Amino acid sequence: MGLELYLDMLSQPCRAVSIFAKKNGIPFKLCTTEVFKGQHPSKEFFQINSLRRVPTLKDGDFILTESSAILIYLSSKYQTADHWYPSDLRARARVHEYLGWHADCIRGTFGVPLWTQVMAPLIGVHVPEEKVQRNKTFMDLALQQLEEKFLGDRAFVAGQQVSLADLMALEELLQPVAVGCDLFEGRPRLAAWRERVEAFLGSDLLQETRGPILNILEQAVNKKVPTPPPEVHPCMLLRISRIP
Amino acid sequence: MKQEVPERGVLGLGWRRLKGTGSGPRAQAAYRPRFRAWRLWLVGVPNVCLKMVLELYLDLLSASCRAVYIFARKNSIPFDFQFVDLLKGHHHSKEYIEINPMKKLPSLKDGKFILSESVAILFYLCRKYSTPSHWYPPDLHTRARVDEFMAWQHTAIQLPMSKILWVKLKTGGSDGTRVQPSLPSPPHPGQMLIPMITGEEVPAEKTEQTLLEVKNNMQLFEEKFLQDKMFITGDHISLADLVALVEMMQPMGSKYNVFLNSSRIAEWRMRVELAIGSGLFWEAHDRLMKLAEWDCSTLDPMVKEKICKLLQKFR
Repeated sequence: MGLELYLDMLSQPCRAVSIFAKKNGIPFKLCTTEVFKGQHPSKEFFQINSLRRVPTLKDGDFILTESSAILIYLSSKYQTADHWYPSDLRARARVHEYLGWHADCIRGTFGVPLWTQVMAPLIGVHVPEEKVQRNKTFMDLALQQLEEKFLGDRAFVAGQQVSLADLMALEELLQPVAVGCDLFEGRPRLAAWRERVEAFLGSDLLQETRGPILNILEQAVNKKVPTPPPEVHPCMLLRISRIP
Repeated sequence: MKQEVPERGVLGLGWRRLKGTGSGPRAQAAYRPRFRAWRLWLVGVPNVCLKMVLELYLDLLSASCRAVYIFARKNSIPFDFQFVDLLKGHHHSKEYIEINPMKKLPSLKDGKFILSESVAILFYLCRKYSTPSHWYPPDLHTRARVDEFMAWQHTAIQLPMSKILWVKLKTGGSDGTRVQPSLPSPPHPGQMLIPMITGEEVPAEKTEQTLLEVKNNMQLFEEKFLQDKMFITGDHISLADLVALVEMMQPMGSKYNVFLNSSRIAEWRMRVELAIGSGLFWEAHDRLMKLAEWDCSTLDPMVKEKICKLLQKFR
């Protein structure tokens, strides 16, 4: 039984894992788990993953969640090129420094526009404008810190070569872009970084992975996004209530 | 003209005049340090090393700082403790902003290398000082479990635990009895940080939500990470246990004890404390435990303003 990856391509960390695995030619079985179509909290998935989260990796009997842990695991197990997760003490520390900050300041923040514009309306919830504006402020601050502290004069977020940090960052930033918030406008340094990372990864791979997320807004406008079944409403409502 | 003898050099070991160099204005160039190797460890090594010693910028009120402090002390890693007083707003000082422009703690300074984020610092110290492998086991699966916990804990443990400290409702005595938000007795006015600092009441619903989140996540921690093991990775303490415990201790600053719900977690807590050493553990938590006595009127007004803005996230 080979490597299985449970992924939902609407999810930023899932895309990061998928892109990484494919870019590095890591063979895996894709188990598409479409969270809001009710596939997520199924009994079978629950047996795999008591945290009920995506992405999830299943390697034989070994089950792992959390995208950064999965990425590090894959890079170690499949001995990917050093730049992804550098062996040098300080270079690696920079990747971990970014991942720590990312968990606090990027995760939970850049996913909000998709929730306010597409997911919440699907279940008849309106997120107050005050929260939308507050989220925008948090995103602006995070982008400023990303540019000044992490990117600085460097080509990439944790050093002079692409690493896991860039992958995690880019897919998060793409989430609001997919629903029409162009974060890269007026931020040439960030836009240049994005181009560099995307050039490295390759447009075919990116288009393939980002298909669902890039189409979501159009689908929502045309009312083609399926209504999530009632069993997923509680976890959706919980997520919405956590928007500060 | 009397020849000047150079001062004792950097190593304080005296000078020796080279043969055939004579005297006069150029005589200084003819001197070189007298090298007494056996004195090096007494005088020279500490003097030189002092400039290169590791600096850790900490306030033990912060759980992330406690993790780094305990780890460094437990592993006898020599460092300079640079106290950055959060309650006095020293993390906003010009001096500290040069170390960490994001004004957060902890920070590490190793020569010219500056590093933030406690998990990154812990991994760095582990590797640089070759600490025993149980802290961050090299086995692929075990290490992945530590990485998984370190990623999960940011939102699942750290955030809600620190929310309690800000938001918490204290009823009952200070004997660590379980907080029952629905009990009629009012919270001690000195114990609620948000109203104390911002002048605003926290809606009871938000407090209940936070407490429920903590309860649920402690359950997840037990089912997913601890299970029936002694520690998260098995028989030995690792960075995951250290980080988990210091985070779960945070509500104790408001006299709220999260360890009462499960005997398995309570036993694990004791094991981790003993593995660290009770002396070191409680020394690290002393400032947190005394928070209840803090006179918040001494809070810097600028810091108060910044806290008010930050607390918007907790609404």
